[in-house]
Amino acid sequence: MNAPENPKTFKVIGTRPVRPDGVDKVTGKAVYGPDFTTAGMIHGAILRSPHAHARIISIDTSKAEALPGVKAVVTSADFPGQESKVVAAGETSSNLQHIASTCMAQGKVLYIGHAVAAVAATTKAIAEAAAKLIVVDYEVLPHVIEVEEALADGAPILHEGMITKGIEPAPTKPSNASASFTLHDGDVDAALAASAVTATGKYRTAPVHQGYIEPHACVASWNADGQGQLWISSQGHFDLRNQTAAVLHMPIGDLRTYPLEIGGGFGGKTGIYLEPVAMLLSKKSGRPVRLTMSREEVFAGSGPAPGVVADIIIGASEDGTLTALKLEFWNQSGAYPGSTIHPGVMTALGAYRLPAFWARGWDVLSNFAGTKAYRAPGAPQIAFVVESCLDDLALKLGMDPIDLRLKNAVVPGDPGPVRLPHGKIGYVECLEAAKAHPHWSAPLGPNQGRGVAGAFWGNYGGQSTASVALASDGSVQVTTGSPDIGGSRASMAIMAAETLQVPYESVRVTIADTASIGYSMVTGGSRVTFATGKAVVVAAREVLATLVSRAASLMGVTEDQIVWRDGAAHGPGEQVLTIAAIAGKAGQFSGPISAEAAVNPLDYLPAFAVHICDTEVDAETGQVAVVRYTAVQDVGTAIHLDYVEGQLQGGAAQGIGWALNEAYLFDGQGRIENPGFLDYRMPVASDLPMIDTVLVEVPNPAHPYGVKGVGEAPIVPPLAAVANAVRDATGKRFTQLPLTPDRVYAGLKASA
Amino acid sequence: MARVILLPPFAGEFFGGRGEMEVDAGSLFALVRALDAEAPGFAEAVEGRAAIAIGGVVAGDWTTALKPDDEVMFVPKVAGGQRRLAASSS
Repeated sequence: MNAPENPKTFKVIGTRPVRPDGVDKVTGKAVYGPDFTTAGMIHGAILRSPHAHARIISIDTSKAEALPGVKAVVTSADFPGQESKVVAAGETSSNLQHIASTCMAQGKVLYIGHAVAAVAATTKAIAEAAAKLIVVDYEVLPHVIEVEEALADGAPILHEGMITKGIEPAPTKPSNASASFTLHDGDVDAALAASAVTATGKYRTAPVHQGYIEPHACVASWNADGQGQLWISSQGHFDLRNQTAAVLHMPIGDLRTYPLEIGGGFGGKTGIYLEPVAMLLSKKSGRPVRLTMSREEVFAGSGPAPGVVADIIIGASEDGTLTALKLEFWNQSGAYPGSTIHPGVMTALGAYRLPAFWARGWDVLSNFAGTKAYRAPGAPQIAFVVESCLDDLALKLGMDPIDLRLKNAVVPGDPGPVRLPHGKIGYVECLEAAKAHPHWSAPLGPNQGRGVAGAFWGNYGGQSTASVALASDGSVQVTTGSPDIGGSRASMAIMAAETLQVPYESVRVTIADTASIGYSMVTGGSRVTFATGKAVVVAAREVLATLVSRAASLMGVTEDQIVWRDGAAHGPGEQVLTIAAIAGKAGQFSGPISAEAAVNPLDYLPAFAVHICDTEVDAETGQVAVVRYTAVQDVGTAIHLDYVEGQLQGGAAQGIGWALNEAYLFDGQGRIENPGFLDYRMPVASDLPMIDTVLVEVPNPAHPYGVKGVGEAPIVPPLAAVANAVRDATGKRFTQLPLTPDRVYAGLKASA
Repeated sequence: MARVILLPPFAGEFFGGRGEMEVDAGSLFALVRALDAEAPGFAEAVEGRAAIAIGGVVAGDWTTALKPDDEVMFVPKVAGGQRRLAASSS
């Protein structure tokens, strides 16, 4: 670990204790979404559209309803009408009409796999058989998949009357471009014209899925008195509750949502798909109903990340000082507005000092499932474009690519993309650590090449609630509302243990349901260890203050005579009262020792990363193998070393998949041709080398322990790191991902 | 007097393009109220669409006290993965 700046010494922080939920997970006892069952539960199935774009003329459910064992059938007619209203939806905000339509098509289907009707029956087999008996009469409409098709004159419009937002004056003609977003400063064209060197390119990436192992699943129970329960696997059971209640016009307090374990989310489980449908099936049948997606339903019916088409040009002076960046990109956003054009623009502008820039993103809709957040949403695609172009620029300048980045990297105080100055960031430290790493200077073998790429990711903070309570033996119960995706139970326990100076094992962490603790935002934006962690530390400090106060009373001294050390109060005359001794005396005080903290910290800091990748390219087959990989990142303070390193390794693995293998393949009808893990090829352990990690610690001064979000940044650099390594190995710049063998082979053959 | 900087679209939408001004206010709540008095509707727009930064650091708590030399920026709260900041939407 490279920790050049962190002056603090900790007892528990920075260690590698066993995760509290580990045994349950490795022994199969942990209850995930599709595992959960409750008394009287029946099973649901969803009928999905076979057409990429069609108007629903009629739905006849009579045959399904007549099938023995069927308890309820639901169509869009069972949904309350929705007003056009923007509401918070996970990591972003969405129009309520679009949220409802994502759960069940309202009048029109917008993609193959769009939910049209649902059945609940005594068995899953009966429900599936009944769904097939539903007769839907469609008026099939022409569809579009690629950005260019969607923007062409005369293209079928997904949302009739949709006018592009963010353009002045507003267009008068409807189109599939839902929005445009631009950041600019200075005269970029003049700066580019005056540049000694420029690099340019047109880049393209495909939609890719988050690829979580556990499919979407829920169990819903809607009682006759109007109160309901939902058991869900999600990244935020509070926000999913709110969305479900909004769609169903329920008071939020009438819907209690229980979090189950989550088998991966990566941003894709921040919104609702099944929940209102299951609730309506439960209401109609009077029974709890489980809905679970198949893998094919996950690929076709839940959001991937958008593909991107991008044009870029970057200029520099002869000494490598960047002069200007001009970028325009078009997100291939799927069926609903709201894709990641804002963070895409920010990504392009966040890492380097740019005297002049103009960056514009377009949100372009087409006929596949609406795209959703995916780990650093919008950033990997744009970092691929920018960091590939920077590599070309370094080549033209004859500069080491790390030196080019070092020369232009943002430092604390530099203005960020929106003029707000960067705080205590660590990009330069990351670049220096990468340059000093043995990997950067190691010799390469035949047919091998080396690439490097950097990353900026903004991170987030936001609202969280946590409580800390002591049992009479001094053991510590931490309760949060943040689903544990990346080991946050362990990091919360570590921060509580550090604050109270007690053993890690004496702290237990529970993720509470929505009726048992106050609101927390989704687990997303790399926010939980930062924001929920802050709430835990605030509550733990309040508990500590109570412990000291009570110790003083018990010893008959004043609080300033107490020193808290190693989980005990030390008073005058060698008096010692342990946390257990004080907690056990709660009956002599105002009550048990407990504290709750609700916070909304927005003093988070962005994460920066640098990845180095070696590839070996087989010119005869076009196969690209990653043979060595190093991920460097400013992590603030690493609370649990294993999980921080694991985040870097996991993000790198996902990004390598994006670079080499993964893409939605559509046939001429708009059907996904590879909706399963056999044909949608994600990297597995045997595909990858050991991914080395370097943790650079530049603490965030606004967090009690210096935390910065770490989970998303590591997926940002790999696409360009791999592509730059392939360029180094072959001498050819590939501008379209993924770098599949056929594409690489064809590219090499064309250049030969 | 806090120095207020309004980034697009707020300057154009509410203050005729005036992007900088001095306002006497003891807290963010007081500041927003003062600006809303000058440009009705501004407070509602800020609640839904803006992030507020004091001295370059985003503040979530509008009860935060303002010092006379504080610089307060209103920038759009943008969607897409996270509620981050951005400057212009044109």
